[in-house]
Amino acid sequence: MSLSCIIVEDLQVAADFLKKCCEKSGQVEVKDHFSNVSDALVYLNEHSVDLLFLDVEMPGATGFDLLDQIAYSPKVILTTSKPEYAYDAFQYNVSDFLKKPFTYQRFIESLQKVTAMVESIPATVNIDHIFIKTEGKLVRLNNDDILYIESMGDYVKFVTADKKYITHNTIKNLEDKVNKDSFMKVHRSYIINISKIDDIRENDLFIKGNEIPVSKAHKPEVMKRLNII
Amino acid sequence: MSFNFNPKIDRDFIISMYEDDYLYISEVFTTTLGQLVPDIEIVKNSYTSGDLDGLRKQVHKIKPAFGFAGLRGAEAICQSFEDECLAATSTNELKEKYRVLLQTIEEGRSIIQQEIESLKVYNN
Repeated sequence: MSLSCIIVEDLQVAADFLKKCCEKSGQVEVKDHFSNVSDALVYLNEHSVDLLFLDVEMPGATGFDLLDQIAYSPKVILTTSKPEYAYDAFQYNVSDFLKKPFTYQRFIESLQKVTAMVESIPATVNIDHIFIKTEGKLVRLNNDDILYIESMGDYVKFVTADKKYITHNTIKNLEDKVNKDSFMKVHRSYIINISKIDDIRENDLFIKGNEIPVSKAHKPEVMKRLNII
Repeated sequence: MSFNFNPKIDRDFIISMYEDDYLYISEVFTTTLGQLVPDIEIVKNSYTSGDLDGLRKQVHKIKPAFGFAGLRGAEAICQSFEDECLAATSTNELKEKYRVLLQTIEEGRSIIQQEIESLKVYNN
């Protein structure tokens, strides 16, 4: 398996070492390196990659700010020297955490986690429903019944026309699990059912009277998915 | 014949990172030194201007740079100083710790500079 990646890291020696590790592994192609979030965002708005090696503390915005602003969810390996970010990493569904400085062996272990995750993602193309764990039972929700999914910290809310279901999960995690033909992320806190959009005004969309924000980063993709004539 | 690193450099750690690729080790030291020089100035400016958060962030950045160069002692001192920054309310409270930090950073820079020179000879 060959993964495309970019490195977002302001410590040059760490970025160089990552490049060397990627080359040596023969499994990762480094497309580019950026030393700050804003330059990386420009790239990511125009290109898609499988994997991000992402530092957290950089000049200006943080690595987590970048994850809030990109319109899709590549796998992420955080490269930081601060293990305290582990909780945030979990919240962002980060695949692994490389504490700088790290060895090549540790890099490979990290990469193996990512490839295992990529290989285990089930094809969602024809899946017309999901099961969610709520109130002590597994509840089946048909895709067509779900209006949108909203983040509530460590929980998410599935909203249908007549009911709301709260379950322990994250939007980041759900992005990979829902049928991408029916659903799309429009904001760091919202995944919507595309077929349920009633109208769009400026930076909000409306579904059955519910106002849902559309982030600047996601808006171009939203517009692309609409059948505008 | 293996290269004799400065005793302050964790040789085993360096070898675990880069094996015996002394050309690459030399590159690592050169890159580290190149970034360390402007970073030290930012540390000094942050301290002088009382920018506690800026100071912590810069030390946070320098810390793994020492790690990649095998200067684990200097890395630990940076970590300790970073923790002190989080507990402090002003740079004035860090006077003695800052003196030790700066001495450590300068010593680290000097060691790296010497290692680059020695590696040049060794690699030739």
